[in-house]
Amino acid sequence: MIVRNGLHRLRMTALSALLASVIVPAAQAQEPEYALRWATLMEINTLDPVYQTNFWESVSTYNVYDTLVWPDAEKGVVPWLAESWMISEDGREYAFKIRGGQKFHDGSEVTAEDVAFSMVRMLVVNGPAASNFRMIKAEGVSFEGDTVTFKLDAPNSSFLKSLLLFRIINKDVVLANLKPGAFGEMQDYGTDFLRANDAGSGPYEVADYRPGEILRVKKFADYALAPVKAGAPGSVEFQVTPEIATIVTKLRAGEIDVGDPTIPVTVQRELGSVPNLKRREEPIPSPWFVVMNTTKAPLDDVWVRKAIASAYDAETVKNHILGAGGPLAGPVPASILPGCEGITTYPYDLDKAREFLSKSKYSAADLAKSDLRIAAVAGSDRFNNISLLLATNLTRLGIPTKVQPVRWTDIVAAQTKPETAYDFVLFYEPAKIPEPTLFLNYFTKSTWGDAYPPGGMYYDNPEATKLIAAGIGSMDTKVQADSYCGAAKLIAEDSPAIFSHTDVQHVTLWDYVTGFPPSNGAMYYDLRFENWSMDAKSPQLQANQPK
Amino acid sequence: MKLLRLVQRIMQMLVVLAGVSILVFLLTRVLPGDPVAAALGNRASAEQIEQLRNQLGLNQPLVMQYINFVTGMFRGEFGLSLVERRDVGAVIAARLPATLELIIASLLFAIAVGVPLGVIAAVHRDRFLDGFSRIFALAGVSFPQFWVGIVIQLFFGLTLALLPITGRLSVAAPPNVTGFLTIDSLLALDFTAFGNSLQHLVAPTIVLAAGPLATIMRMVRANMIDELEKPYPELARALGVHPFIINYKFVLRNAFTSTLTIIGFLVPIMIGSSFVVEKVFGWPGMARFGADSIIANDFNGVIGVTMIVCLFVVLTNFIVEILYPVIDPRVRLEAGT
Repeated sequence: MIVRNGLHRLRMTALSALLASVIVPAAQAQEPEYALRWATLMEINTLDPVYQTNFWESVSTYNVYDTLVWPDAEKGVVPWLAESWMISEDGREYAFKIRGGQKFHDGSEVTAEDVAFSMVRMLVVNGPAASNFRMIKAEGVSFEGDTVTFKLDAPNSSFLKSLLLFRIINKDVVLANLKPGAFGEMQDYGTDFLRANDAGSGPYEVADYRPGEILRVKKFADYALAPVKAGAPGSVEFQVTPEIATIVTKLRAGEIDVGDPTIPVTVQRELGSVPNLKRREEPIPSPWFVVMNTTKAPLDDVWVRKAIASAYDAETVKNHILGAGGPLAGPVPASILPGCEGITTYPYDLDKAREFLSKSKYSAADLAKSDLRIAAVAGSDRFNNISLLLATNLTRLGIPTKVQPVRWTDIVAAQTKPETAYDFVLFYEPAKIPEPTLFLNYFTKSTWGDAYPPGGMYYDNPEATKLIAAGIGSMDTKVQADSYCGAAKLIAEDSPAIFSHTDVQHVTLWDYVTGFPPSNGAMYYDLRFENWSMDAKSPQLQANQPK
Repeated sequence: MKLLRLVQRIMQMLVVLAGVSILVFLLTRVLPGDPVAAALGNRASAEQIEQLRNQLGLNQPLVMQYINFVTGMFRGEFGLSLVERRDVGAVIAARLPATLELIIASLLFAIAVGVPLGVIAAVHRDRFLDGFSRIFALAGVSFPQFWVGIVIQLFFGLTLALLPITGRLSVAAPPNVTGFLTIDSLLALDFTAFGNSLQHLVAPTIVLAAGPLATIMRMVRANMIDELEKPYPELARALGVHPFIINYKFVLRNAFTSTLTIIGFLVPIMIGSSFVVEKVFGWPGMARFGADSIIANDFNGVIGVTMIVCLFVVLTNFIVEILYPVIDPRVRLEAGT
């Protein structure tokens, strides 16, 4: 019996070996996998989805972790890790049924308990990601069986879209790696472990992470939530390269396949002449604002603010300082608030600006005495040049204005109080989710005192605030759209900030890389690498791949 | 060096370190700006800022903060880095070997090339080789590291494809033992990784070594000329001693004391200036972390890096002082009198 079993086992082993020798190489030959290498100008300092702040940290976690919902151009969101959901009649309770059979990278199954744990952890740790979830408290999270329930403090129509920013982590892995910390029995809540390790279920898993140098993620073999595109990179390498000139050299040498989007547009246009490099140019809903401190004279006068907005040369900013830019009417990009017509805009017109000034409560003599300051982030040519252009035009208008280079952290401190906030500050913020309240809330009292950006706005229009609240409280998309549009019009009419333009993202990459599928309005979802592909037939790809 | 003098020197070192720690600690605390809010990114609420401030101990009295800092330092903990979101001690432990590997390679290269060139220039004083070395030295200190780095990347990386453009290693890393990739790969008998790490070291080493090399060369030349004008080299020549022995064994040894002092000073300067090289070559070292910490007002990071640099300054000077009598017997004799 033993011998027979042994013979059987031997036969099976031989058969397996034969099959392996025939099938595996054939499969490998059919699906060669390549490494996509991407230079990142910024450091990737954390892999913890709760603490990610910069572009690259976000890109990496969007590939390592998954979400309950996926962005959809028409419906806003569609089911993803959540198979379905129910919303209570009062609009406060959201019950999500978790899809079965989905695995974390350690092989364990994603459960409702993991989802609940992830939400509670995010709210308790209160890192940057929690800023998007002020509508819910940890006590409002519960689970039963395969369903997790979130009870909001008040009805909030933006909650579902906010879930695009909520990543699910593996509870067991986190609990097995706790270290002493400030969160009671949860110790450090796994923050030290998750900073450098993987507890996700996304299409890529962490293979190598050396802070300051490299993050390499590789395809997760058991990913079952969505089909992985043929030719999707087998691994993605983020190479920290903190110098633009070096990134350009690496791109030209084929040491990387994609360049950092923050390389100046002018440089990227020059790279367009290099054979086999292509440039992707796409408008993104990332508005640029020049915020005015409306609590200070003469910026407390709406006519002065309108005059200042009219003295801002947005076309020069877009075409000559930044090299590209799209239109922006009011506080919300049109792609996020479509169909909102009739928003007041202020095209560059110094005569019109003078006309506005003549209606102001401040005389020309009063304005001539003003000594306004534009805080431009020190070291940023873009911020400095935009500020200089505005200061020059305002001075021509009879409002003496100076540009003051200030460190980012100093602006952050100054903007938390109206008395210390600068007269003008610039900032831009990408819309991570297609939600108008992201920007409309800046112009309500609820964000007074917040850190810059967007902190430093001390504007309030009760009528606009009421409309925004009506939109948030309603589940009717028509009511939402009308309310937000009405609020945007009121805010634009009051001109508490210069609504400059929206960004156009430029990325230079080798032509064998096909990527950036539609993001459906949600940032980073076009950077899910299972939807990218690399052309195996390209000789450049073969030549550039690491040997 | 006598024991008493040794103890005196160690005491002086500790006083300097304590003084620097107080100064840097106070400076980072009184600087304007809100690094805590900045570290939390966009839309940080007042509650989030307060929570992180508490976590960092910033709501405690300044004296308590300093005591916590000093006691933590003895455990190798410098507080949470707002840039890297882990303890500064851990960041330094991870990044210091990369910086040290680069600095040691650069220093060895600068000494190995600079000293012989200085000797040659002195021996061939005012002739072609001397003039050539002068131009070489001038170029070494004149061209900015940033520019030299980019030129090397373009020529050796892009055009000739001989050297990698950035990073420390492009193959699988050997097990981490010392943090020095060259040493770790040898310990693991991984000669692929060893060759690859050496290849990555070449360009940043040349760039970082250019300035110190020029300084060492000119210093050796000047001191050699002084020594060569003394009677003993002439006597040695008259006795038929080989010129190589005269130049390298007798003259250079006497001329090297002041060069050694300069080398002692070069080490901290190299740590300070290596952030440019680390940035251009994507080298994951401590200096780059220090520069990032200053920009982000990451006070714990600034203090940690400053203390480590300060430690290196005092240690290098201490070692140099110990080496004086070893190299120059006159110092030994003076100390004995």
